[in-house]
Amino acid sequence: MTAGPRHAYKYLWPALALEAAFVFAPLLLSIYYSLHKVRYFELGAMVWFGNYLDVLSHPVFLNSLQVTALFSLSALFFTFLTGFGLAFFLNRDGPMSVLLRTVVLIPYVIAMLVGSMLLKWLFSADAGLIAMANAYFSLTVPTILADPKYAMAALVANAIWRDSAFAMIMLMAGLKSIPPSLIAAARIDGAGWWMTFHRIILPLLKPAMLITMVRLLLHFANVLTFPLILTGGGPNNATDTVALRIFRVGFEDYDLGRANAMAILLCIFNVCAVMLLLAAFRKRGAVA
Amino acid sequence: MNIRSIIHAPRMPKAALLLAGCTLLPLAAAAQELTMWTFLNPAATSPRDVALKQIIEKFEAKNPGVKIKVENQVWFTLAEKFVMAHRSRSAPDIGWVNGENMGLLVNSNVAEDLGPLITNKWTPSMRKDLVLPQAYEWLKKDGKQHALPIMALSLVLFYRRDLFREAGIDPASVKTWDDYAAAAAKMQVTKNGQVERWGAGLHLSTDKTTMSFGANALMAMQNGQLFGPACKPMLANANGVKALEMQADLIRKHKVASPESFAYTLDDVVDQFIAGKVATVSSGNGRFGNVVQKATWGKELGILPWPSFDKAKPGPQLMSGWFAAVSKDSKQKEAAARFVAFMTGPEGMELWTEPGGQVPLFHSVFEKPQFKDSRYDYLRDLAKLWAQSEVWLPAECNASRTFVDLNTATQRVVLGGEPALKALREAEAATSARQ
Repeated sequence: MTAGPRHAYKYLWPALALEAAFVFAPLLLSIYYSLHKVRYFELGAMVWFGNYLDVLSHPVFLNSLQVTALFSLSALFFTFLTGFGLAFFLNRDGPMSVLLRTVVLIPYVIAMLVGSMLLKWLFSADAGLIAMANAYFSLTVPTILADPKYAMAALVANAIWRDSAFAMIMLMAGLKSIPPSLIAAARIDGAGWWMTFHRIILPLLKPAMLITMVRLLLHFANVLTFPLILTGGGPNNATDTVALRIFRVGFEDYDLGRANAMAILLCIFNVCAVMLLLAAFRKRGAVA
Repeated sequence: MNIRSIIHAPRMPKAALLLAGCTLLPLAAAAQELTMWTFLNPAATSPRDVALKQIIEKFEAKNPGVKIKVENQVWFTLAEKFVMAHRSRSAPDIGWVNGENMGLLVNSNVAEDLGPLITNKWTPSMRKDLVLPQAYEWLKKDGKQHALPIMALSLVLFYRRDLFREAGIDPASVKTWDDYAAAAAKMQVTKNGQVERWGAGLHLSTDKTTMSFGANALMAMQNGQLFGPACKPMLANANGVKALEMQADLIRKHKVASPESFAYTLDDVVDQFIAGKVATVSSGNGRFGNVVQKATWGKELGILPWPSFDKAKPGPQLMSGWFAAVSKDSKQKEAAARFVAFMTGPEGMELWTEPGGQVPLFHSVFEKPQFKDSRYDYLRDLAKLWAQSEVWLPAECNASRTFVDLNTATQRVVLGGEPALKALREAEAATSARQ
């Protein structure tokens, strides 16, 4: 006797229950709170879309959206590129490659908070390595963290430093899954390095690239630790991301209504960004 | 010998056992355990931790039926956790709240009125004994006493006596902000075009713990006020512009503060002060002992009265501190209030002073012979400064990020080239939205 689809669905229940408890219930609660006035952690009157209108008409939040988009895309581009390069460079399983992979992984295994604090003192023009270089070479390097132009670059550098290792692992897994026989066959047929890369490796690597990009993009759009510790959202709101704004409005201004409205808007931003990525990859035949 | 063997002992009359049980049961029921959330840890060894341990031991010895169970919490989320715990009906009997979060406690209405339980019972002589009577009034809203002060703190200006001596400056001569800028410039050290020590340590980031000089200058010009009636902020006016320009000029005109100040938190600048990279810094006086202990020059640490625009009067001492509240949900309010009264009363205060290193909040404690020693001079000087110029921002107004708003305004002026008044209007709107 063959089990029908109903029987198959039974196996889904544990996963669905977990998803409901840890994803859907908080999401619904967040939507509910976003439609209310919630001051000092106390649920107040229903304001419908008042919090959303308030947030969307506020220049500080609109600036945060811009900052989040700029940071997420820049960090995604450079982190992915670095991870991609590292994955190719360290793909061979020699002792040196294994050692270098371990070295590259160090920033990823350091706690995010500690890593960002480390970079903060590294970038400091008064007391960090930059200050030492300034003194030694008699240079006048600008104050990175206190200059709106450079603070965003510092934030992106933090992302690259920490998350390139993650991109490397994901892409290396993709590379390892490509059958070596395919590459050997291409070589025998006279394909050069570029042709092999372009026609064989890249198309077969696309699913891994998509997963890496989606994961990195979501991480960068929602990360709190980097801006909170490294730049504090400043200077002059140049690195004030939406995640940081949500934290401050919710837990420093005690306005959970507006903070939840921002969280829902950020969730929509995440969904849109992932859909755009999926559409771009679908166009190139990476996903069905 | 276990309990079963006692019960089944042939020679033990069962009636006697029953009698013993009946006598012991009410005693067991009378034993009360009070839970207290605090950032201190009685098992640790810092002066304040030791003081709390001794206070608890002394109280428990005097009240044999009551046990205090301390649940250690992170200081900067303690008040929020205390309030949130009420929403889930899991609040402790006693919670500590810092001054910056008093608006949260008062407006969320989760604390029991300590008036009928403690302060209404005070005699006139006890009221007269208070060092900071304003603090007790500050904690009242609608006639309700929401909390009582455990230890008072203020934002002070730390300086190094040795650097002032080397620069030939008399600390008493630094009265105005111009005097301060000139003194900071004299103490600044530059080598090969690089500043090795800044004269003024500013923390102007958007971190919640920062407090700018500008806020102090503004309060001084407005008789200690930052809020008007109905918690309307008073930032965007001529006084605000003057204060903001003074603060900005320390960086752009006098060049005595690092341009990196816009990225610094209070902790960053205090660390640099300890390392000798900064000559003066504003901080809570609670860090005094820490700086003395950590800095190689620690014994040279001093507190400078805040400069002002008015030569005749120093800037205000913005008061804050740690306060004890009894939960409205507590089932042991009487006992909890008894402990709070002990911890914040003269007996507890004696221990907060020695070994705790805090200013006692009762005159009678300071007058005790053991506190006549010169090592308590710093506490005595601080108490004098408080008496001269203490300022409490209204507890019901949410000022938790007002200093950050002023810092943001300074960033807009210096980095964004915005006019000061426009930047202050934005700061005022941000503070206003939080009320």
